[in-house]
Amino acid sequence: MKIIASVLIVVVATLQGYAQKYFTRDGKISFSSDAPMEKIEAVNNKVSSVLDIQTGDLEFAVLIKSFHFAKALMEDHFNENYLESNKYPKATFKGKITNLADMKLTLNGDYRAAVQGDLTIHGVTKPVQADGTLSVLNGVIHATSTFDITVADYNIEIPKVVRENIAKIVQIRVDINYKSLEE
Amino acid sequence: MKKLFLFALVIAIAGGGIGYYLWNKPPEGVAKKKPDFILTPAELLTDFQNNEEAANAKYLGKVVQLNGTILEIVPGENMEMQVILETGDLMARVSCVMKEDYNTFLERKLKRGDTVTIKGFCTGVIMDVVVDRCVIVN
Repeated sequence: MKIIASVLIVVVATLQGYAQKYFTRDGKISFSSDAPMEKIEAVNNKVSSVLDIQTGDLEFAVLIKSFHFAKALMEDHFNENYLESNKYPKATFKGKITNLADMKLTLNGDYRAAVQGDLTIHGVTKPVQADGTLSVLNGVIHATSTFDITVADYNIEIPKVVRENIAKIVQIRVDINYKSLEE
Repeated sequence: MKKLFLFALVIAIAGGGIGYYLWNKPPEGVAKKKPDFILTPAELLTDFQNNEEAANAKYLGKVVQLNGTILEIVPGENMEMQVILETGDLMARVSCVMKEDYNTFLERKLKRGDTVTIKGFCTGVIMDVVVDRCVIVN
C-alpha cells in the first residue's frame, strides 16, 4: 500500500511538474546590425524554448542556419565567415527570470521580467542580462525582449574591408508564444 | 581612342551590373537542386539522435529529400508555414519550413495523414530536425 501511495505521489508530482513548463518550437528571434554603410536584418522562426514558471528557468536554442537574410551573400558570409555554422550549428541561452516573485504567470496580465543567464554563440559563452515583457492571456505566455550584444565578445572577427558594413553591436529581438506542455 | 574608351565604359557598366546583381541576389532556392540525400523522416531523425555531431557533418546545409506522412500543418502567423512530418517519435519530429505561402499550399489540398515528398536544406536539430526553404516534390 505504501508503495502504491509513493508511486502515486511521484506520478502526481511529475504531472504537476509538467504543468509548470511552457514551451515552443516556433519562436522568433531576429537581429539587426545598423552600420554606416548598410543595415542588415535576419530572422529565425524556428526557435525552441522552455520556460518553467515555477522556478523561472528559461532556455533557448536556435539553429544558426535557420536565420534568413534578404541577400544570399549576407547569409553565406554570416554562416561561413562569421558564425561558422558548420562548426557551431547552434546558439543557446540558459538562464533565469530573476524577479519571478513579482509576477503571477498563471493569471492573465502583463509583467516586466528581468532575465539573467549564459548566452552561447560561436562556441563562446558569456553572461547576459536582459529585460523583457511577459503577457499572459488564457494560458498562452507571450514573451518579448530586446537586448544588445557585442560581436567581438563571441570571437567573431569582422575583416577591415567590411567594418563600415557591419555594426560592432548587434540588437537581438526575441518574440515567443509559449504554450503549456500539458496541452 | 574613343573606341577604347567606349569599350572600357561598356565593360565597367557590365561589371557593375553583374556585381550589383550578385550583391542583391536573394538566397538560393532548392527547387532546381538535386537532393544530396533521399531518405525518410525517421531515418533522418535517427541519424541525429544517434550521433548529432556526425549527423551535423553529414547533413548541415545539404539538400535532403524526404518521403513521409504529414503529422501537422502549421499555417504560421507572420512567418513561414511548416509541414511537420511523422517520425514515430512523439516529441521529436521533422519540421519542414516551406518556401511557398500558406494559400499556395492550400491549393494542393494536402492534409494530415497524406504522404508527401519534400526537399529542402537541412539546418540541424533542436527539438525537431529542421529542414528549411522546402518545396513539395510530389
